[in-house]
Amino acid sequence: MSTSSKIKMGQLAPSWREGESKTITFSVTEECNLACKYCYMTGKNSKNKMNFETAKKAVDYILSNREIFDDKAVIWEFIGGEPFMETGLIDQISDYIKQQMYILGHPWFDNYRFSFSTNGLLYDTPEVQNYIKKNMGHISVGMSVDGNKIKHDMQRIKPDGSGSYDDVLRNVPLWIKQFPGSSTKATFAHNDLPHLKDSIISLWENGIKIVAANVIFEDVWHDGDDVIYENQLKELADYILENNMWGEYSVRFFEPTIGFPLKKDERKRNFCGAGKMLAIDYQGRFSPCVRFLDLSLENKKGIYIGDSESGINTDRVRAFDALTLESQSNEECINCDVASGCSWCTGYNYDAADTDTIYQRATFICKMHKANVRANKYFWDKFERVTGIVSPRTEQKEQREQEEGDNGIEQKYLQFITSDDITPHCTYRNWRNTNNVMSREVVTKGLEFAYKNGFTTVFLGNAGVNSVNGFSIVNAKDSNLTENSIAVCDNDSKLPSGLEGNCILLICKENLHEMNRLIKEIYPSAGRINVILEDIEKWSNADIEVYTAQVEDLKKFIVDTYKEGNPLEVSVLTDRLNLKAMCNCDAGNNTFALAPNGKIYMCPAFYFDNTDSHVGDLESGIYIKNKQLLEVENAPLCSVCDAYHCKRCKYLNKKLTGEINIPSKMQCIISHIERNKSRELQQELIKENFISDKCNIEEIHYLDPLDKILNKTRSVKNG
Amino acid sequence: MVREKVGIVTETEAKEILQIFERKMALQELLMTLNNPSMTEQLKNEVYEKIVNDFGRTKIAFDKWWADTANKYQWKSVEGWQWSIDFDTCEIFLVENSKCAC
Repeated sequence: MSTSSKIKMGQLAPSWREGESKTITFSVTEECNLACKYCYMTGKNSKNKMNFETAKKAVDYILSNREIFDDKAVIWEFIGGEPFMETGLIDQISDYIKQQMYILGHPWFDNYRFSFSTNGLLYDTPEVQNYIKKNMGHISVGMSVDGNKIKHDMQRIKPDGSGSYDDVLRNVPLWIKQFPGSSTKATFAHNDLPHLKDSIISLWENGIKIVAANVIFEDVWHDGDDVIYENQLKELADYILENNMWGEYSVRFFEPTIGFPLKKDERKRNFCGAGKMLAIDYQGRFSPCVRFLDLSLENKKGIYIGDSESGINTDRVRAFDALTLESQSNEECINCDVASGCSWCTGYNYDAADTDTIYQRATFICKMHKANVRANKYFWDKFERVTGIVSPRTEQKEQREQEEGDNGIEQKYLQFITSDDITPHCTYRNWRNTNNVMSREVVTKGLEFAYKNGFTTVFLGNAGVNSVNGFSIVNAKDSNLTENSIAVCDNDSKLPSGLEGNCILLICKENLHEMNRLIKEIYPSAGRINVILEDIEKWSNADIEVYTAQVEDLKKFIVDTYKEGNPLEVSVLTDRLNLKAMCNCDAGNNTFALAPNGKIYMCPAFYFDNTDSHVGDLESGIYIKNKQLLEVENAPLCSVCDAYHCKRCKYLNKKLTGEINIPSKMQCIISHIERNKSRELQQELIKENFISDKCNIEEIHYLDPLDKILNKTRSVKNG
Repeated sequence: MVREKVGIVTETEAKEILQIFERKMALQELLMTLNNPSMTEQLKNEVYEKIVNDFGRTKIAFDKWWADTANKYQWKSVEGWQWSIDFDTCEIFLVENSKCAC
């Protein structure tokens, strides 16, 4: 596959001098010639209008306080209501701004724009057109068209209730001619979701190639809206790909950066510009953003931070300056797997908050964002299959993984225990002789749960389900092994002929002495063998000796496979060669198991041991108490250990030591025998020039990290 | 629009001409504000004089940048056409005179 720079889909029009410019907004009138149903300006009226003297005082204050307004560039924005209802006033203010910037020798004279958001109804009037021609080199105009006629007229209505689509569309060609490359903001709410796909296509057909579409933040969403939204977006995705439109058209819903966990720096940033902007109301009062003006708030009074007479009260701006994603979001949002691109409006947060605070993020948009992420992924996955081009979403994912390392994107897995008699794939086995089988209903609900929560599905045993986005782990003797299957050899070496890839080898205490023979028989069909040692809790010192001899022999065999040019990977010896940190049991972190009873467990071992040990279900989700104990840093032995490949089985930890974060002595000894043998293997492979001599495994003289800790404690005690 | 790519400049060079271009454009549009009745005749005259002088200097700087940079990179030229810059990509294009914005 190759990458392509010709992909326009998901890209938005670049903002002028982004990061360098101050936006100063004049709310010149609170009157509008439309009465859009979803408009956040609920206090619109025909009496509050700015006069020139008020605007003049504001301009004088701003231009004479360069130490406060020290940005390199400025965007003078005019809004309403509908700003073009006051074009004469705007013209007067614009002239004054230009003259004063010039007379004062202000650096903004060479770095300014006038910006407008209009409903477009008055766009072709001589007054508006004269103004545009007079300022043509410095203007940007955004015109609100919501989609096709049905959708637009459903929301964007005139005071008499009739739709405004025809009046706006009449002016679109002139607007596009004057401002080629302009985009529109199409806004979707509950009622108009079924028209989403047709609306976006209609906008494109009308020459608006970039659509910065969004759904509203407000508490308007009904059950099932996310499903409608997702389906509409998927249909749109299919349409784009069928018609090869991704190289010329764009809609924000398919922005490739949407739907990833937050990076560390993203948690410390605020994505809303409130506080960095300055809005001026009709009385000349300053506000952090138009969304904090009285007319924009339904439940609270506006927040004002000063005026032209008394200047800016910097104490009132501090709370806005200090806002970060973390400080205003709840834990669920901060740690959300698909958080990137989920946006908010600080003004609406304030209006919806329980108290008078801007530090309480409204989350009504949550399920809609998640639906957007699923559809976004659907589009870009299909894009790759159809075009053979690496998608910008994949590039984004890889880039984020590189930047964040271990803190980056982690794959989540939901294992389906399809029946109680599955061949185990890890350190568990059903000793209770139960015979439960996962019902079709649980499978279906489980798939839905996995899909909605971003889990990759793993079927343990054969459920007869062909999961496109997952794989299965089945007994090597199963006749339904597919290319998406991992085979389990249960204390034998019987792999079907022609099978290649990875396999799991289960070795019980009684067969320990056979381990090497089985590995040799499985090789070379499997390039990697994941060895699972069963019932280690029953091992004696004699078993340790047998195992030590087995891994010594295995080490020699692995060296031989290198010499033959077909190197074998065996988890217990080769994994440690490449690890720089603990990489082991993921149960309860990113991997969970769904049992036939519909309950979710940290792993199958917990289910087979005690069905009451579940940590959630398909209806209420997953909840783990003391989840921090699952992290390596909260495991006192493992956090000082460098047997990074160790199984660190949380189930056995709990069973044998009583604590989920403390391994048994036997577990530590086995892992250190392997670790030390890996070191010998590494030295031999370096000597033979098969691998480089970087990251050498150090020599140590203990088999249990607890000894290391106790020795240190004793030496401290003894002074 | 018929145009042909004839070269590319550095980001620093593109910023230089962008700054000159912004000022030239700002002066042109400032001139159109002088018929505003709220300005006194004296102020109008003073500002007008300043704009004209400033515009002259800016135009010279503008033309000099194009001449110097074209000479540096030896761009192709055609009579009746002029060079234009795409500020996003720093690319230089040859465009018919009447269709060039910069």
